[in-house]
Amino acid sequence: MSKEQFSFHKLLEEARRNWVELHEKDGVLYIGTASCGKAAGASKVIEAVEKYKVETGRDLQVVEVGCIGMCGFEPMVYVQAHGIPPVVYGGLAPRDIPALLDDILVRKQYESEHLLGVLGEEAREIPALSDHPMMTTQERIILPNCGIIDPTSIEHYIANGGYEGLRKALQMDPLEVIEEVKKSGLRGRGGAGFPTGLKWQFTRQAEGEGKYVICNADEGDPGAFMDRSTLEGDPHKVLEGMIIAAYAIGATSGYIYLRAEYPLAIKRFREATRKAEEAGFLGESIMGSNFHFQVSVKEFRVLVKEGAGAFVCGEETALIASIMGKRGMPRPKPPYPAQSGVHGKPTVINNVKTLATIPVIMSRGSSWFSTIGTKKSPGTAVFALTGKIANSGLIEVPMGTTLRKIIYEIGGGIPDRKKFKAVQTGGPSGGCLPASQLDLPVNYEELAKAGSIMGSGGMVVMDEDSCMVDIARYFLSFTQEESCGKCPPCRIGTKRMLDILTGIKNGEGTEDDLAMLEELAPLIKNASLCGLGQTAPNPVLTTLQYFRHEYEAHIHQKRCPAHSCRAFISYRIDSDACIGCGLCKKHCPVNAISGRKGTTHVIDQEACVRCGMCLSYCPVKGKAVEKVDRKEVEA
Amino acid sequence: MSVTINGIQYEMKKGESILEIAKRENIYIPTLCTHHELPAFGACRMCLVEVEGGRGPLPACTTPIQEGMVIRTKTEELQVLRRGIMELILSEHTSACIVCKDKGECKEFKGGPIKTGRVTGCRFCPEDQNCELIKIADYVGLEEIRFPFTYKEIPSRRDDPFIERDPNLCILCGRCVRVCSQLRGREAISFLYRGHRAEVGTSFGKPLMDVGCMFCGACVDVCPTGSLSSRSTKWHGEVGESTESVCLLCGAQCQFGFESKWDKIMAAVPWEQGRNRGQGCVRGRFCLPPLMNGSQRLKYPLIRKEGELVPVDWDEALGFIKERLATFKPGELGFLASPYLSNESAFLFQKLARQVLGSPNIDTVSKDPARGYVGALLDPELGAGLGSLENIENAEIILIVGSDLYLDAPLLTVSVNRAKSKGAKTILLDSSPGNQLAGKVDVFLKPEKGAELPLMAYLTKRLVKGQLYNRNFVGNRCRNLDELEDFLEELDTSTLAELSHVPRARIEDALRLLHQAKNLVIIAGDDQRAFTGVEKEAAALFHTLLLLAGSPGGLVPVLSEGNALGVWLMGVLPGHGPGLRPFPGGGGLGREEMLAGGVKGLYLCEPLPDKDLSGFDFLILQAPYPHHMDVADVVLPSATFTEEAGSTLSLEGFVHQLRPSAKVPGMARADWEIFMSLGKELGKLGFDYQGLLDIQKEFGFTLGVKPGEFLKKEKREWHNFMTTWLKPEAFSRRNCQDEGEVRLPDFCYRGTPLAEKVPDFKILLDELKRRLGA
Repeated sequence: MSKEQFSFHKLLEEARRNWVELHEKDGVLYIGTASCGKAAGASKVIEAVEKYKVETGRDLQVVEVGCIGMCGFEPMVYVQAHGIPPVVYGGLAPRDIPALLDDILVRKQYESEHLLGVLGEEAREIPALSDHPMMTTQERIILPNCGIIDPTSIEHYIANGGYEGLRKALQMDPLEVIEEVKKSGLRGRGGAGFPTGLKWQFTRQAEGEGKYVICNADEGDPGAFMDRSTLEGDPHKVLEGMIIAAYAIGATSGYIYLRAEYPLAIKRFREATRKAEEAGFLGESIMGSNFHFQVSVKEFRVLVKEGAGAFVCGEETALIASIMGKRGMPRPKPPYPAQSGVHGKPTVINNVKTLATIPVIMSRGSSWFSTIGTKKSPGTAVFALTGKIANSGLIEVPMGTTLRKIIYEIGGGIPDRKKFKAVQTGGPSGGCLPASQLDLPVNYEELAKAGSIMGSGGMVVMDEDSCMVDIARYFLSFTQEESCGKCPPCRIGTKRMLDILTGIKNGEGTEDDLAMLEELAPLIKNASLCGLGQTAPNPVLTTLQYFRHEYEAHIHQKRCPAHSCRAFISYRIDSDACIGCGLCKKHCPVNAISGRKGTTHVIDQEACVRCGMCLSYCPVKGKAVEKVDRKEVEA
Repeated sequence: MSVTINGIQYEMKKGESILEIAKRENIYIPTLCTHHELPAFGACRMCLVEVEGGRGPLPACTTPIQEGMVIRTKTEELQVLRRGIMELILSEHTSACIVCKDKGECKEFKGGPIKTGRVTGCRFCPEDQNCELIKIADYVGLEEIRFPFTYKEIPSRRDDPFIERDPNLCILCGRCVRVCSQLRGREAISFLYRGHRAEVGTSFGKPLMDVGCMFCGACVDVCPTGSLSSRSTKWHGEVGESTESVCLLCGAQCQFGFESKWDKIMAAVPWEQGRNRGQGCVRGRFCLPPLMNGSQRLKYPLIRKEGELVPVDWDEALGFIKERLATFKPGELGFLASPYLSNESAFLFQKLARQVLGSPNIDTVSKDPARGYVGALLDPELGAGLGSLENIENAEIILIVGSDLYLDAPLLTVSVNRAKSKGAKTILLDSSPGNQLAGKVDVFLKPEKGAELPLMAYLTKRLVKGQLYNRNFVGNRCRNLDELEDFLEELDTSTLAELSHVPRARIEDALRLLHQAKNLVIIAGDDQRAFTGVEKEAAALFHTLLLLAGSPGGLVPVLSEGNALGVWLMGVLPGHGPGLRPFPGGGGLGREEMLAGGVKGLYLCEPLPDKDLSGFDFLILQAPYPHHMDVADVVLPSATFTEEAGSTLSLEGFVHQLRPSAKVPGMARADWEIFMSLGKELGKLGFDYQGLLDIQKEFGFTLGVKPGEFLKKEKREWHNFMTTWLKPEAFSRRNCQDEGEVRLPDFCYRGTPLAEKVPDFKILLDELKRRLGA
C-alpha cells in the first residue's frame, strides 16, 4: 500500500464509527465461540438462535467473539437490545434460547437463572460482570478484547485501540522502541522471565541480515490454555506485537510456531495475517511510507508453522530446529538464538503473552506499565486456572497477587466442601505448593524460592483427594515421555525416578527410595541439557519437601493418606447403611460382591480389584460403600 | 589471552571451546558424543566442567572459551555428576563386565570368537577391545550400579548386508546419525521416538538397504559401543595385527588399517591419520576380506601343455615364456597393463616391454576417459596440476561434471560435504538419470545426453563475455588470452545452450554462481559417454573455467580405477615414456588396435571378460583370479594390493605406500617380482633389483625427482593449448546410443567383479540397480 492510500486516521475513524453503530443496534447477540465455548455447545446455541430467527422473523445479528475467560460458565451469550441493559448469560443450552429471547425481546424481561451480570456499569440493580467474583480482582491488559471483539474483524481490533502501539513505534527509532521495552521492565512470559528488551537488544546488535521474529505458541503443558485463548480471541494483538518486535530488531520475516492441536487458533491467526496485510500493517511498506522506518520491516511477513505435538518444541532451540524441518531437539546455548537462530540468523523468540503485552506498552507507555505488578516483575500474569477449583478459567492478575487471592477469590475456592491440599504452578515441571505457601505473591523470584516456577501460566489446584506421590508420578511421567532423548540425565534419569515413584505407589517402596530420589533429582537438574530436564524433578522435589509424610506413609505404613493409590485401599460396605439395592453387585466387573436383594451386600476382598465402581454406583445418600485403608480391612 | 585450567594458565585461541583447548593441552575431559570430525553436540553431558562464576556446570564441548576463565575439569562434584550419568547409562547397557574388577583380565570369559547372538557382557560384544564406556567408567570410578538392570528388548537388526545394529547397546550419542547426515550426506538413520523409547533407527524401521544407505561404514566407525558393528568381522574375536596401507579399489586411495589374523586380511578400518581422515566406503571398508581371501585365487603358475593348462613351478613357467616369446618379432608383441598395478610394477612392465622385448605396443586396459586428458593434467608444460581434497574442502563453488560421486569415488562426497558445511555452493552437470547428487546440489544442470560439452562451451563463452574475470591474472597465465577470447567470440553459441535442453533459468543460476566464483573446483567425472573422443576439448574447457575463476590447480579428476594415474605416469601409455615424456621412436599401438589384431602375442595383466581373445598366437594372463582359462597359454598368479609392497598415486596426486598385510596364496607373487624375474630370465641386465627402493630410485631418476616427490604441485605457467585443442567441431551435439541409461559402474578389481566374490556386495548392487532405476 502506498502512502497516498494508507491513512491510519481514516481506518480508525471508520472502525470506530462501525463499532459504535454495531453497539447501537437493536438485537445483537455476542456469543463466545473459542474452543472452550464450542466444546460447551456454543455452536448449538447459535443454531438455536438462527432457528429462532427463522421461526419468528425477528431481525437478530450474531457476532462470534472469543472467550472472556469464565470457562466454567460457557456457553456465554451477551445480549444487546434496546430497552434493556447489556446483560450476559452463562451456561445456556439450545433449549433455553427461544424462551430467553422471547422474554428479552418481547417482554423486555431479562431476569433469568442464567444471568451473570451487566457488561459495563451496574444497572437496574443487576451487578456488573466486572464485579463478578471471578472478574473483580483481575487486571486485563493482555486479555481485554477477548470475548468482547470479533477476532476475525480487524476493524473491531482497531476500534479498541489496535495497531495504535505499532503506529507509535513506527514514529520512533527502533533503538528507542527497544529502550521503551527495556524501561517497562517486561520479562518473558514463557516462564524463564528473561528481560524482553534486553533480548531484543542482543538480537538487534547481532550481525547478520535476514533476522527472524518467532512467536512461541507451542503451548504443551497439560491443563494450560492461555496462548490458545489469546490467539483465538485476539490474534491481532499478538501479530501487532510481532511486527513491533520485527521493527525493533530489524527482522524481515517471522514465524509463529503454533501447535497443530489448536486448529481454531491457527485459522484465526492465519486470517489475522491476511487481513493485516490487506490493511497495510504487514507485508511491504507497513502503514505507508510516510513513516520513517527501516526498509527491512517493509517486507515483514509472518508464516504459520504448525507444531506436531512435541512438548520439548516449546524449548527455543528445539523449536528452531523444528521450524527448519529437523527433529525437535534442543542444543546447548551459546550460541543463543539472538546470535544464531533460524537458518543461523539472529532470531528473537517471544511467548504469545509477551508479544501481546508489547502493543499496550507502546501505546500507553512504559511508565504506565511499570506501575502494574511488582518492581522486579512488572505487568500482569495470565493463568489457566484448572483442577479442583470452583471457577475454572483464564484469568489475568497483576504480578505479585497472592495464591490465596487467585484460588479463593477469583477461583471461588475448592468445590464440594473439600480441603485445599496443593497448587501446582508452571506446568508439568513446576512444583506443588502446600497451604502454608498460599500467601506467596506470584512472581518469578518468589515461586522459584518456594521450589516451583512461573512457567507459562498453568495453575492446577488439588484437594484432599489427591495423592501427592501419584501427582508427582503423573507429572514426571509426562516430562519423561516428552523428553527428546538427547541427554542421558533427562532420558534415563527421569525414567529411573519414575520407576521408583511407581514402585512406591504400588506398595513396593523401600527405605532407600527417598534417598535415591533426592540423589537423582539434583543430578538431573544440574546435568540436563535443556530446561525440560533441568526442571523435570521439580514436582518430586517439592512434594518431597512439603508432603514428605505422604511418601513416608506409603513406604513405612503402607497406606495412602489420600485414599488414592489402589495398592493401599479397600472398599467396604457399611452394613448399617446398605439398603441391598444390588447396584454395586450388578456393576462389579469381577463379581466380588455378594448378597441377596434387600439384604446387606458384602465385598470379597480377595477378589476385589479396587476399581471403585461399587462406590460410584452406590445410591444411598450417606454412601454405604466406603473407601478405607487396606490395613484396616485386613486387620 | 589466557585461561586457567586446573590451576595452570594456558594460552587460548579465540573461538575455540573449552574442550578444544583442553585437548590441545592434553587435559583429559571424558566425552561420549563428541567426535573430532563432527561439530559439538552437547548430548552426553560427560564433559561438564566447572567455570568460576558460571551458573552450574557447563559442557566443555559447546562452551566457547573466554579470556580469564577459571576452569576446573576434575572436582569431586563433577565426578559425582559424571558417575551419576554413567550409572544411568549403564543401568540400561549390559554392564556387569564394566563394573567388574576383573575387566579385561576375566578368566571365565576371556577373549575368543563370539558365539552368541545377543550381547550379554563385554566379552560377547564386538566392541570389547575398543569400548569407550569402559574407559570412562574407570575414569569416574564407577564400581556399582544401584538400579535394577533394564534391558530394552529392542530386536537386533540383522536384515542388512555388511552392518548389524543392536539398539540395546546404543547410548544415543548421535555420532552415527550426525556422521551419516553431515559428513556422508545420506541421512539414512535418525533419532526415532521420544522419552525413554528414543532410539537410533531408520524411517518406519525399514532395513538400511531401503532407506538410501550406501554402507560406507562411517556409522560403525564412530560408534563408541558395540551397537553398530561390521557383520563379517564381529565373530573373529581379537584381531591380530593392523597394517597401514591403501585401498586400491578406486583412485581416491583411502588409507586403511588392514587387520589380519592367520595370515589373512580380516577387516579394514579407515585410517584416521590418512588423507581420508578416517572415512572410507563400502568397498574398502567391507569388501576386501572376501575379495582377497576367495578360495578361487590362482595359486600356481599354469602353462598350456598339449592343450591343457597344467600347474608348474615358476622356473618352468618363466622358461616356457622365454621360449615362446623368442618366436615373435618385437612389433608383434602387445602389452596391456592393469590400472591396479603399483607404480613399481607398472614401471617394470613398460621397461620389460620396451627395453627388453623392444615392443612399443604398451597401454593399459583402462576405460577411463581421463586417459585422454591425462596429458593435459600432468604435463609440466601444459598442465595445471591436480586439485587436492583440501582444494575441494576450501572451495566456494564446486562444479561436478559427469559423475555420481557416491558410486565413483565416495571419498570425494565427504570433501564436498565438508565444503558445503562451510558455505560452498555446488553445481552438478550430468546427463545420466539417477545421479544421487541431484537432490543435494544448489544447481543441477541435466543436459541431453551428448550435449555436455556444448553446454560447457556456452558457460565458458558467457563468462568470457561477461568480462567478470581478472584479466591481469588470466593474462599472466595464458599467453594467448586474446586468441582465446577471439576463439570464443567466433564460436557460434546461439545453438549451444539450446542443444542441451536445460531450462534457461537453470543455466542463469549456474552462471550467477560461476560469476561469483573466487575459488572454483571442478570435479571431472569419468562418464565415458560424454567425453570419449573429446577428452582434450573437455580438459581445455575445464582449465579455461578454472582460469577464469582465478583457481588454477582446481581440477580433480574422478579416477575410478585404482592406480590409473600412477600407471600412466610410469609410462604405460602408447608413445609416452615415464613422466609422460614422448617415447623415442614414436608411439606404438593402443589398446583397441592391439585387441583388434594388431599384435600376435599379448601379455595381459588384467582379464577382459567381455573380449574374445582366441585370436592371439600367444596369450599370457597375469592376475589374482582365473580368467580366459580356455585361451590363455600362460596364467601367472599375482598378489593383490593387500599382499604386496609398493607405491601408488591417488587421483589428487599423492603418493601412498602399500604395505603387505596378508600372505599371498600358494606360489603367487607380486607383479613387480614377476616382471623382475622374467627380465632376469630373458637375460637382460638392469633387472637385478635388490628391492623396491632400487626401482623407485630408478624411476625417480628417470623422472628427474626423488621418489615420492614426482608430483609435487607447483604453480605452472599456463600454455596455449586452447588453440591447439579447441576445435569447433567438438561442440556439436554428439550422438549417443545409450540415451537415458543409468550409470552404474561394474565395480571390478583387476577384471573380477566384486559382486562375484562378495555376496553382500551383490545384494547391495542389486538394490542400487532398483534404487537408481537401472
